[in-house]
Amino acid sequence: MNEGLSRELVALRVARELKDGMYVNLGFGMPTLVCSFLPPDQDIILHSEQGMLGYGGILMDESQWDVDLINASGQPVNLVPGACFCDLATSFGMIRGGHLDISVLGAYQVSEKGDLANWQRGEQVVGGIGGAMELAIGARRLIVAMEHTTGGGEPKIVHRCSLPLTARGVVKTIVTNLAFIDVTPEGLVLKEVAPGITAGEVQSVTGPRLIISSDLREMEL
Amino acid sequence: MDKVVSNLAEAVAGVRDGSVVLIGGFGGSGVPYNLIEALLAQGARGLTVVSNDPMEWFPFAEQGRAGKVISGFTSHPVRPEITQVVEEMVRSGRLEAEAVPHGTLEERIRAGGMGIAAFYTPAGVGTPVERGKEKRTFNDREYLLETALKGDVALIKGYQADRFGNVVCRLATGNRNIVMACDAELTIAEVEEIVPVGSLDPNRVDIPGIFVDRVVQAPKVVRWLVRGEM
Repeated sequence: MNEGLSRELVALRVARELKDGMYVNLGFGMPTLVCSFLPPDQDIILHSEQGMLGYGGILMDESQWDVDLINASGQPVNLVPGACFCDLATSFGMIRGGHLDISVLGAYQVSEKGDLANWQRGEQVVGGIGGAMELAIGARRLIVAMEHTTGGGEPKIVHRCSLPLTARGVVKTIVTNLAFIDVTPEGLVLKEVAPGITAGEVQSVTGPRLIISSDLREMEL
Repeated sequence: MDKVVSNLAEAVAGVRDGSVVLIGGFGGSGVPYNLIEALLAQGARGLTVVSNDPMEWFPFAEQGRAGKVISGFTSHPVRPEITQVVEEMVRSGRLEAEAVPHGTLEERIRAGGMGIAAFYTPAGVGTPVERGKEKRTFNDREYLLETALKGDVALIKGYQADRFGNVVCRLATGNRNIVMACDAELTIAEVEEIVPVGSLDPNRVDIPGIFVDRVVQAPKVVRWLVRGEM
């Protein structure tokens, strides 16, 4: 089996889910890359936990960096016209109160029921919850963007999460380097495979049995 | 009324051992680094430090000045060597580290300053965070009871302030500074510039002076949590 999509192409596929007029939060890690692939002709407003609506891309040119203007991953960003700021309690009200259309988070594990584990590795007593518990329960749609397996090749999509949970039954869509999967009451529905990857190959590195969509297709990138 | 003090040592004078210290900033933005350094130099011990990122609380833990930290991140998001040190301190009992969902942390702080004793939130239901907390169902959804978190001292960072303690923040630096200013017995603001009373636009004050006790001017410190690439 080939390795499937690069991190950037996973981000590109996630970006295709974002539509004009949406308010979207991009989490730490791979989800952050999504901001590089937003369609230029649409108003998609990116929310950042510290109290920012309407940032643009991550700035690579150090001469433009301003430490007063970063995203929630601590990276320097710019603003789009129409951006605004608020305090952090209000910002989490936007999240918890159900005002975000989409939240994109990374994950250590996702279960077939949409449980999410993404804040603590099992062997540690410390961990990084950050805003993940609010982002997981608050957005209207939670998309997980992650590698399909661990570095050791173990499935990250599992029957039941063995790591401490971030939230129960919240993940709606999983996008990985191999597949696009919807979490439904009937189970995990495989809707798209990465170019050169078969449904059987995706199943071989996925814990629960996948329901193959009747219109299974190759991802358009 | 003049809340302006002449130097950083004066700004943190009188902070007692065992205080609960709230520290502002988020991801390296709007962090009162000068006040952090000043409080470390001041010498108070046995502190409980409340912040979002380890960049604010770790110096207190590392120097044996904090017995407890309450934070969204009890690990370090990008520096595993710091996570390893903290992990060892917690396992050996030298540090208590309470990981709190960040929205819950800010709401507990806001509640503390606004006279609200407790509130129900859906964040953390079904996770280790719910341990020991009352769970209650409203409209078919489960919520956890979370209590207000009061600070003895808040260290905050602003851009400009006047002698009444009105503070203006720049760009995304208001973040947690605006939330916590109301929640401490002693709120200390470090700002880049002190301006005459009457020169701030009343419609654009981020932190009303009633919440602020001391103001000190200090040069802005720039530290990046991460570089542009990740």
